[in-house]
Amino acid sequence: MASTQFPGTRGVGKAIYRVLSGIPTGALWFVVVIWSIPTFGLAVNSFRGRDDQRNSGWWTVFSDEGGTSLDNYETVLTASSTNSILESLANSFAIAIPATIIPIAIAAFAAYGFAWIDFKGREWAFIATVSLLAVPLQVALIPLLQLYSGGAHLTLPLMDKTLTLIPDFGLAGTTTAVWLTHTGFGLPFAIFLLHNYISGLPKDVFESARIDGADHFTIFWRIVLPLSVPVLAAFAIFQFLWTWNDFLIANTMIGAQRTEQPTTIAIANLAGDYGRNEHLLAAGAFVQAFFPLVVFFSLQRYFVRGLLAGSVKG
Amino acid sequence: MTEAVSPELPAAGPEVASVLKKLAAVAFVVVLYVLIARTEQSDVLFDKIVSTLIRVAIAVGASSGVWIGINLLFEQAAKNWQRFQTLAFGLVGGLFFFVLDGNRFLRTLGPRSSVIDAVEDVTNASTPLTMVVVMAIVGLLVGRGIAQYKGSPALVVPTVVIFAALGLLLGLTRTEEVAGGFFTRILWWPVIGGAIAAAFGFILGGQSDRTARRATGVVGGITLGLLTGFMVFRAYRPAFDIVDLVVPTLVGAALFAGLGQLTQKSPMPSVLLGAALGWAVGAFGFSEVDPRGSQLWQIIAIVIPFVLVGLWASWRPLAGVVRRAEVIENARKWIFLGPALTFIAATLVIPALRTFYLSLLDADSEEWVGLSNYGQIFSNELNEESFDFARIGSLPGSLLFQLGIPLMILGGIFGVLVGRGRGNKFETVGVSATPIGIGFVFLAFAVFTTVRGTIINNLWWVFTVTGVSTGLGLAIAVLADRTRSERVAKAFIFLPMAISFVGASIIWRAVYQARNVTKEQTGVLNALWVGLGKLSTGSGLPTLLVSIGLVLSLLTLLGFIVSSVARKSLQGVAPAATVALLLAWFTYRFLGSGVGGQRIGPTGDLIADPVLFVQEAPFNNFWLMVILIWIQTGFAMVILSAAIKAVPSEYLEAARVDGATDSQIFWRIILPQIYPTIGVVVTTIIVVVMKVFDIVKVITNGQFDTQVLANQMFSEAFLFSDKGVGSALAIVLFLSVLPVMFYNIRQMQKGA
Repeated sequence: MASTQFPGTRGVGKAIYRVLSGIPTGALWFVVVIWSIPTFGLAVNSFRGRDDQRNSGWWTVFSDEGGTSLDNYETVLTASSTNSILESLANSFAIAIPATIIPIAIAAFAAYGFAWIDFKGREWAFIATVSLLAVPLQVALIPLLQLYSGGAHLTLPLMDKTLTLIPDFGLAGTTTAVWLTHTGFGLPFAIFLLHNYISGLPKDVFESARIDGADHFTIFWRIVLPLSVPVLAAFAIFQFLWTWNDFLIANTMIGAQRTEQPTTIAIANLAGDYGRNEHLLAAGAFVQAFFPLVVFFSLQRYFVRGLLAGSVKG
Repeated sequence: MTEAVSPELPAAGPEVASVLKKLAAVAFVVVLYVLIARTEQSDVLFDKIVSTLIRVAIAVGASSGVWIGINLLFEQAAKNWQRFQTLAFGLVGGLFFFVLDGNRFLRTLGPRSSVIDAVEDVTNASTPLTMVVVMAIVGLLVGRGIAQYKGSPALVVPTVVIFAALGLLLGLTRTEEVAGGFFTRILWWPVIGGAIAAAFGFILGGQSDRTARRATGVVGGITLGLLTGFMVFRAYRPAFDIVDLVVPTLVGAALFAGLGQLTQKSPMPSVLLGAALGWAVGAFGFSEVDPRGSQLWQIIAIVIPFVLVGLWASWRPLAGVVRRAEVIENARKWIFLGPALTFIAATLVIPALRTFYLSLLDADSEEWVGLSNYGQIFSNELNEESFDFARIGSLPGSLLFQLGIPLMILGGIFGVLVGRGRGNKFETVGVSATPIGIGFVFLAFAVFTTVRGTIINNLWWVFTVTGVSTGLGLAIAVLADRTRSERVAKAFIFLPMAISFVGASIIWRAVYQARNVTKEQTGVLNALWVGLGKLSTGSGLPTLLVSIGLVLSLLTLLGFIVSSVARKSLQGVAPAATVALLLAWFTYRFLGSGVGGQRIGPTGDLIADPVLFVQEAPFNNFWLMVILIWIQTGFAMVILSAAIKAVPSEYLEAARVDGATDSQIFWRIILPQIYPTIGVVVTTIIVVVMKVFDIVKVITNGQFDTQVLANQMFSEAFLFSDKGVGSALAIVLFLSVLPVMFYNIRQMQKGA
């Protein structure tokens, strides 16, 4: 709070005041520059050749004649000799799209149920569901991997017999396993976010609809869904960014299965043996970040709104 | 603050913009297409994309279809009870046979019987016809439902035709004997069983005479029981044992009767259901398996519980209007909550319980070891130690410790002094709080650098990242508030939120790059550090200019402090003094022994001395934390910025009128107002930090003393295949966020 006023000062005091009052904006932009330098540096490097990257810092590009080109991007996107980033992009979509759409639908049902269907213990059921938000997903990884790679079998106590609850669908190492997991893990937050919004819809809308003879399904389908578009969009952005950028779940469920890897694993492994392809890392990282950044910049409004709705609660 | 999201429809943009957006999207798809077509494995990729799209469509379509279908089913219950019963019985029956058929237990036991072979041959041969008939009946029922729903009877015939065609298709795939084909494997028994159950549902839905209803129930039970017996004919023949049979049956009946009493329903149906379940458990659970056992007893054992279930379904009189409404209302609740609760139970709750169970077993989950996995973690028997107090003795010798203690004492003295002047015991103001805060941070860092280990690292992460991100986020939010460039500046700070942790790690690995001392540095930080060293130990014009600049700014600051003190306006003295102290130290080093990455080599000449940010423990941990701070600060900033803007402006104006300074307004008005939001930010970040994984995994993989719980859990469970210790680590991680969870629950209860 340097823009403090100095009562009763003239001349020099005024000049100092003017300098001091400029400090907040200056400091702000200083922070912005510091924040952006790492990304900017890597962005510059992604256009420089292998030897340039190895032998000099990215800032020399402004003083030297050192050439820039799109070669790295071309190699990353088209070469099949190393890792195909394009294939991993397809995998990432195969994970992110269902892992975004399905939880939205499921969570919307549940949020409506928690908000507008009366039943005993509703409050507690809701709090129990949403409190799962904080559970670290590590706690579920080992059993889930076992489920995907062998199904679920219950050995009955005292009877020495095994019942197959869920057969082995051969999901281990597939993108399906990843998005199923994301769907489950995303639900507590989704329900929380959507419930905040749906429970705030005006009550008279529901009452008049019920008087007109509409049941829950009709109300949900015809009234709640159309009204909830903004919050659905906010959650969709969240979930998309999260699933696209996830590394832990994909690494656990897919691991070394090269044909099914999403982009995060692909770029983490891009450097290759002995760092042979290290010069491609920068380009790879930006290809990976391209879609999240597009989503982020074009839909920032919804994103911020979702963030606020999800966290700002007294 | 619940009204933070008020319902509003998205603002419709100008039409031109929307057209441009569509064009851009089309152009993007075209570019992507060309890009893919150019690559060497384009056909593989196209295959992949198409199969992905199909899979997504099936997943989304099927699940939404099922959900809407069930909703429509209950809509039918309100209109036509008989149709509802038909469909519901059909669905439940189909599901039952689907599960039973898919059960490995039933399919793999026992030798193939020649009787069943013969019957299967017959069904195979007649399959297309049977399937057409069965599916046509199903189509008739569905078609009538649709027709009534849509109000146009013309829809019945097309539906029947479509279903019949589908039946033909199913039948043909069946006769082709596609080994293990989808339809053969999954759909054969469910369709038959479902159809039969639907038929009995249809009859039951229209009967009101008590005796007739019960007769229908018994006949239906016998039919379905025979079908089931037929299905598991070669699989499972239980031995007859009267005790094994009677005891569970009675226990089941009593148990369900009790439950039924609790929910105040008439007891008889509950008893019937409990007896059926008890019988099934007794006959098939406790008894011995013998493939050569009595076939007659097998059939009886199977049919009896079905008859009981049939009686259960038909016991109550035909549902009246009130009960129908009850059924519908009750079902709606489960329809809306069911999918979410199922998913959460299947992917979170049950796996978490199983993880706890696994954590009590050994590495291969075979033997019970009690708490010994936890013992291993807490007694440092793993590859990386959890706690390491070996270096605690060096704590008093560390510079951070020596600085931290005096600072805290100094702050305490200031606080007491100021407090005495105002009649309090202790006053928290800038002069007292700043030294105590800084001293505490120094002290904590000193402790964390001498006490090492995985769990300590996690604590250090939580402490540093949460504190710095929240503090910095708040500072930026305050700085940016109401400035002209607020939106742009905030977008830049916020940007890392959109980048993956892996991407951020790659970005920062480049920043931390350290090269051999003889070579030019390519990482920003080392380039600056070595450059600074060159500058401070050099003797050229740049060194001279920087020296003069340093001295001049130091003098200006001192002048400001002196003049302020002379005028007795103490505002801003404390921060200025802090900056002056730091600057004085820096200038002293710069002019004296030199700062930065240069050291004097053995031959007396200067050589570069880059910092190995990633490898040098213990502060490499801190450099990893910087990455997460870089990501999380944007989050804290956005949330806190919104909270600051939500502070009622009347408060601020009133304070200004009363002559409060900006800093007073911040500390006394804004901060208390946004306190709950700070709580939310802190808890959210703590949860994120506790489970930090990607950054450590990508940059060091836990080497160089940087191990954290999540990465250790991953290594133990999936690389070293020790499921016991891996699960135990996961549980430790879970327990460590439990306090946060309780805090959140309490907050929510307050809000509710």
